[in-house]
Amino acid sequence: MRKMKLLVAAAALAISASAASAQVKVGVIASSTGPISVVGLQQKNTVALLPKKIGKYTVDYIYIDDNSDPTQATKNVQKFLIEDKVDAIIGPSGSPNAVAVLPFIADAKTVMLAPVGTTAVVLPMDDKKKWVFKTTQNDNLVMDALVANMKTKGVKTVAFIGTNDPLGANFGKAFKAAIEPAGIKLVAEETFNRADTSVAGQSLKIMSASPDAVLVGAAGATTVLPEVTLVDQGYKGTIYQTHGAATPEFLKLGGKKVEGTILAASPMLVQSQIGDDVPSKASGQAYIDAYTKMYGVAPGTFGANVWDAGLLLERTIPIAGEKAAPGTPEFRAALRDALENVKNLTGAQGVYNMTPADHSGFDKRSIVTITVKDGNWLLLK
Amino acid sequence: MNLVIALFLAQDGIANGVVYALLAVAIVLLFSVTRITFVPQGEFVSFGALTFVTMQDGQRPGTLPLLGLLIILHLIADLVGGWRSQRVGSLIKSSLRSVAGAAIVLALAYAATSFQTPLLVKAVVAIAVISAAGPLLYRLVYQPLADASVLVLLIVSVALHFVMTGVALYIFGPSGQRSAPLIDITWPVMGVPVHGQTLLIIGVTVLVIGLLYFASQHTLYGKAMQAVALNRTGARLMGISTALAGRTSFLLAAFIGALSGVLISPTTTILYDTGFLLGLKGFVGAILGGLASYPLSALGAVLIGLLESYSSFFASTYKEVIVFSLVIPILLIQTLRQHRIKEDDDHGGEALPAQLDLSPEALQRRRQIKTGLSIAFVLAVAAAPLAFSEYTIALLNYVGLAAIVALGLVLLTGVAGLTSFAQAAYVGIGAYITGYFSSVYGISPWLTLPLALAVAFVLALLGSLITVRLSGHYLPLATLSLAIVAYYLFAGLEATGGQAGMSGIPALSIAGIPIQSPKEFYVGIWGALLLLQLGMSNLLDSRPGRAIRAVKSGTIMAESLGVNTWTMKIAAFVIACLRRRWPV
Repeated sequence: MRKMKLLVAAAALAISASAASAQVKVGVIASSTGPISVVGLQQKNTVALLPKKIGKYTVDYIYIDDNSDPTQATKNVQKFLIEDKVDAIIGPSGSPNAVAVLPFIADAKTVMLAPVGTTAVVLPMDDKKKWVFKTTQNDNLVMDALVANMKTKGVKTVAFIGTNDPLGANFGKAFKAAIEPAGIKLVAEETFNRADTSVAGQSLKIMSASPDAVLVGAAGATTVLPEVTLVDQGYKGTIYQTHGAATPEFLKLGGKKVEGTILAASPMLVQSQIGDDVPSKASGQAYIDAYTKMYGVAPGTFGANVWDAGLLLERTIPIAGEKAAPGTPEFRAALRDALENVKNLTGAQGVYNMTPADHSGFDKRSIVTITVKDGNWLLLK
Repeated sequence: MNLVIALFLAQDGIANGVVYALLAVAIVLLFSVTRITFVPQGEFVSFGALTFVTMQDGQRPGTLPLLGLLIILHLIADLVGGWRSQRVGSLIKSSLRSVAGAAIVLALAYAATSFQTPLLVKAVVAIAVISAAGPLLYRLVYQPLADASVLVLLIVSVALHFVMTGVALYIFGPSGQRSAPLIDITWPVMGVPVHGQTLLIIGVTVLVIGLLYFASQHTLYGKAMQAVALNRTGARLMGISTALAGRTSFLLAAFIGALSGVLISPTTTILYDTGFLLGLKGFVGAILGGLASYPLSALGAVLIGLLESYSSFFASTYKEVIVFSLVIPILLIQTLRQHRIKEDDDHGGEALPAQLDLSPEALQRRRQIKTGLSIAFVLAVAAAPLAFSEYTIALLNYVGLAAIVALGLVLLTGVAGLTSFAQAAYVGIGAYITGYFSSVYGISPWLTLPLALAVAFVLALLGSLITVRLSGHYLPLATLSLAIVAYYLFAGLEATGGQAGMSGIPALSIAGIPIQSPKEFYVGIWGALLLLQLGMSNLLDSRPGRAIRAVKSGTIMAESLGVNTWTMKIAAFVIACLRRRWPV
């Protein structure tokens, strides 16, 4: 009897060992609690929709919440790398959190698919960042689309107001780089804090420089205050927003005052209005359908950044699997090389063409120009 | 800048300033009656505003169950605290009486949220719910500590601030809210549109401050509260209940906070943590008014609003730096003016430590136990890398870093009796210096680390020369401002990489092998911790160390024994700051 038990145990061990070799482990970090949960909750929900079987491998997703805290994100990453020995990481949700975990990813030579906004995780590309791939549109694509719209409207002078944090600073930098070749002049540059209850001073400064247009560089609920203040003070020019404003919150809090705003964002935001000429239409619809089927509500664009991470893994894991077995450093290196060579992969928001210098891989097809009309998003053609 | 812009900015500054003024008045009220430096005053604003907006969305706000929870906790605290001293019957009766008001508010609020009600009713309900929570909060958090020192109360307040922000995030969620306006009219005055809402806020503020002033001068309750503010023991001897005074002042403070929240909710986006900065600016206003006079504090707060408005026009990146830099010179002037009056008051309530057994055998035994424990600790630290997995070691590294921080604070707060919130700023300075020279000039971190230590030493010395003159609760307030100033200054400056910060700082390496695995860090961090611990015990037993310890038990006593207080305070400050350099 005892021998029997041992035999069974040994057999079970052998089976699980062979199963382990045919299994790919992916660690997922999303902020389903804390301030970043505005973004993170959708991303966490999307984990259940990611492909569970890729080629001959079963994929095991290990999910941990980081409570929106960068220090917790670094602890989670260390757990994934040291204890679970994952083959890839998806996450975290917040830009500061992603920046904080960079050194650990690079030391462990494991890829991270980051669904975050900041370009700081992939640009400028260096030895550490080469392990990171970003599944969102780079700031410069958004700015190029906005500046293109400004040119058609004959905008000659422009002002920028951004949040006094890394996000706002990066928007400002990308915007300045985009307007220079277009010959548009920046006549005022202001900052404000997320917690400010009034931006009247900054708004007046902008008004006194009388620019043809103003760009607000912020994210989420914070985008509303500068725009509403400018409108209240009687600003008549066009107000532009980045994809940071592409949330239902912006429409709800801004109300009538944000009518006519122009922003550049993912085509998924106006999924029902885009034509078949947009390559990501079908993939975006597939994601929306899968999410709606499981949760009863349609997802925003943030969840799609995690969905796309799943598509990237689906393409690259079989390629890496030809070189080495999952769980080995060789597999992780092969996965990185495969990701860097992804060409023409259509995601929910655009088409990926990765290069050693560009680890985001999107081009201008991942951005559409949108306006606000009657309290809803309207695609500009 | 022309006249219209100047007027525009003035209007904005006053509109913000009066809200700060309301909060400043509440802060002064709390401080004078209960000696509590109430950091979370701004949290009442967020709670009030978000409760109001949630009701507008046709939902029942999470603050209602929260109030219910507070009532239950209050009853439990009463029963547990009083079951020995009172008869059960009268205990239950008195306890029920003290929560009766809150219970009625709760019942009415539940009723009001079950129907469609006009906007004004919603506003009243929101304010009532938050106001009712104020006295309960006092009973649960502060009443058990009523005789603690100002410093202890301040630290409890900081903790309560974090608790309240966390609760707000939990019940209201992370997204921003904005309310429908109460008055939607705009009048043009000299080309500047003046909003009805702004006038409403100003009117209400003047009314509230006027009423408070009148009540404190001319009513029996007001006079009783003033008596408590002037002399607690004396008031108690005259039959005035200090607990009742405390509860009343919390009722008023919560009312003022919730009222401000409801008033500003149509003019701006309210997030769960919006209140904190508002409250801090109220604080700066209150400090301008010497934390004593209602009208002066209100005036100070309006000045802060104006200063903020004009600086957001001229230098928006450095707005907070300008506002919070003001605090330090003002506190300094005030300390110099009322030199050391507060000193005895601060230490009045502290319990004496239990009498120690000082016989030679007992001393011998204690020394043996101490040595034994130390050896066991060192052995355990040394054995850990062998016994635990790499991930556990990585977590232990965070523990070690926290312990190093705690060592610095033990020296500063525990031993020398100083409180500093600016420690993080010194850590930042050290990190930036190491980072700057290592990444820009390619100098080895082994060389830049001592450089960072030296610069931090000089800065800490300079900083402490100014701040250490501040006694009592002024010091923590000044260091809190210093921390905020440092944060926004680093973020604004080009040399520190601005908001993006620095990257590409090379790792420390020994003989060309970079230190990067958790175990290598473990050796460094815990080795440093043990060395620091050893150094600190020796420091405390040395002559200056004994002098540092004396500073805590009363400046006047130590001074009369020939210890130069300043030198010692500065020494403690600098040593604590230096201690924080190593983990960088």
